[in-house]
Amino acid sequence: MMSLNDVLIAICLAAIVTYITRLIPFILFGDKKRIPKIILYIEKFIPGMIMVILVMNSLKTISISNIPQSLALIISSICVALLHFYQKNALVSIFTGTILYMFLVQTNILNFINF
Amino acid sequence: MKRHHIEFFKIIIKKTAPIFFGYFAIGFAYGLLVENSGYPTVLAPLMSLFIYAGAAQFMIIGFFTANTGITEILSLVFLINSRHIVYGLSFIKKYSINKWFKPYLIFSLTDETYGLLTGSDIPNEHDNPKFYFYVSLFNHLYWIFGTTIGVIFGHFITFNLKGLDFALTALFIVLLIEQLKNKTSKIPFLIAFVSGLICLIFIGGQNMLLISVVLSISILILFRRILENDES
Repeated sequence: MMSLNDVLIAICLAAIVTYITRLIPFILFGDKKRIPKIILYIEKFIPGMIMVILVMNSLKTISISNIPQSLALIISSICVALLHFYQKNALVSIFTGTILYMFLVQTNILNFINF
Repeated sequence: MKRHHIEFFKIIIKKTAPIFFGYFAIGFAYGLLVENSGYPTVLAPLMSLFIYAGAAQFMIIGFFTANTGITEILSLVFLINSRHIVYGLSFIKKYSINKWFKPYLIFSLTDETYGLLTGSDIPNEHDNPKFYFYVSLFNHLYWIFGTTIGVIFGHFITFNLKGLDFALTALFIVLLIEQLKNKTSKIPFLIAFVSGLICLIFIGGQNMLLISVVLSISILILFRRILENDES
């Protein structure tokens, strides 16, 4: 565990880094009349692409060497995805999927599956 | 309080109500998680006050307990928040004002605030900086509030929180599906998926985020002709 001192420093730096990400477009384009077309083009699609990559990054621990946890991740993720495809409430999707995952990893129900 | 002040705040509360529920719940889960990690109780609300980025905050608490190096923490915080770089693009004009709270408007531009303020249903008489300020402020306060209640709760009640951090993965999946529902062309999603796969297979683990993003954007630019015709 990181020492409290280091933690506090990390938090300050993380706050600054986060602020910078939100500040960048205003620094780059704040006083310009027109935003270059290629930036407008990228702007449309970046949020979607980054979301794909963030999801993949969250699920990268899925592997054959770790079947119970991988299965729990897969099942819970599918649950979240299906729920959110068919209804609009984000909380329902997140809450249900998380409870399911916590149940699966805490009860070790999937541990009997070993190839 | 003057009558039109009360009316104004009624509208702010009505507009931000959905965010209240979301931020309270996830903030609550976050507070529980931090309280469970053994650090001082005040840490979580502090993070929610100064960092104000749910995904990054969840990620960071995991790094603290795992004793991760500071450079790695900061680069991942930057990456996970990199989508915020494009949010500001939609607000260049709206936020080109000379008010004292302009830095705060920029600071508090989260996914949900972005979604709320770019939505189509802001009545004309309220489409102004003062409105943006109070919406942003209230959302921020909801987040801090949820976190605080979470740590207080976690302080008095201990229960097994194993797997709670899946909430973050779930949040990303939800955000992804909302993006999928909104965009007609699925090609950018495919581009990102393929880039991600390539990086996972050949690079694996830690560096996958940055390189996938760079790779995706490069391929996206190559596809410009096709995609611009698709959208119009």
